[in-house]
Amino acid sequence: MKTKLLLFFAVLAGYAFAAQPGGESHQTDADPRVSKFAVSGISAIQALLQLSRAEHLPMGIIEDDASLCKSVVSYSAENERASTIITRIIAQVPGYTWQRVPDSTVFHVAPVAPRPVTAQFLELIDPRFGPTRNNLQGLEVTLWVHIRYILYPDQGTAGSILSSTNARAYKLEARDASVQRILDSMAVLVKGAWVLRPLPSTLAKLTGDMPFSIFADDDQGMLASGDICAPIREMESK
Amino acid sequence: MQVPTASRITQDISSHVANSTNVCTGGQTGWYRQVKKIVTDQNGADIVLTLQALAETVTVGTPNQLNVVGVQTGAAVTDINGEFQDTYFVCSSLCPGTGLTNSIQVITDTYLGSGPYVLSPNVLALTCSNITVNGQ
Repeated sequence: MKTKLLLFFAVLAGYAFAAQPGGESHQTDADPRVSKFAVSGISAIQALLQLSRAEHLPMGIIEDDASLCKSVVSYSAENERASTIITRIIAQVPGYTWQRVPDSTVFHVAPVAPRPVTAQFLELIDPRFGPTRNNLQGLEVTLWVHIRYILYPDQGTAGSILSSTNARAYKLEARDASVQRILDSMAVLVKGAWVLRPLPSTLAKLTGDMPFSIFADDDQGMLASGDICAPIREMESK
Repeated sequence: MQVPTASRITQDISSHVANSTNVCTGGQTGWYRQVKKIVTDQNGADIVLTLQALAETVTVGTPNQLNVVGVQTGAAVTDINGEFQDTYFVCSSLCPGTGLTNSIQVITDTYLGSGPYVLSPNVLALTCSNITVNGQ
């Protein structure tokens, strides 16, 4: 199973992408030491998001079932590496592990054995993303519009994206990149976490609801995220 | 007391073809319009108040000639002028063309635990070459 997971991450690491936060450099300590962190009696996913938010830690969280939401965790630490804290949190979630893709600063939390549909979704290739400059909500929606076109080219997508006038804008461009790679690049840009909600058994009939959310310290993702634990529904057959 | 009742456009920021440099993919085109808005009260006056939390729902109506299935929405907090942005777009394989898709936008406004106030619905008319809000 571990081999399968490593292969899953390794495949996703192979796609080229370029992300620029408006020309700024994003060289950071990939595994920062956390001076103080404590959670008690909250879901694992909330604990992970709290860590990402507090430490500006790029993270990708794959919910393949309800485990990350139903597992209640408690943990406290001082002056520990972020990787150690993630390890301790994930140790309290049956069937989940974490991994770092080589040459990436993003921590991936995922099932030990992801369902095929989850891997299929994250491995979808977007031939061309941007170059575009948009706020976080705009980038998320753009990716979802592209995914919907890949899956359902005959269907149209519309949007009415409310946003704050001072929402930070980010520049992003990717070529032939997987969905996971693009989500990772967004997480790095905003120093936040993306979360993929549990997908149905196939991608054949997804509703228009965006199955992923990105959480950043500017709160834009948090505002629009909805219920991160709710499984993605399928369209009802007529 | 001002009661959040509706919203109005205060400024057009941009309006242009939607393509792969903004939101659509290489295989679809459409229209993109970004506006600045403000919430208005029961008398039609602007509510110049920061930290109003806004959420929305958008429902596709009829006709739906652009075969729109998914409508994406967002959330916002008003700035010190009481304003927020709204970015409308439509991407469809039926663009360019003459199709029209109507939809209804309902914004809810919450301020420091007061509300939510459900604002008057906005009628969105989406085409390949224009997007209007209540005919504007």
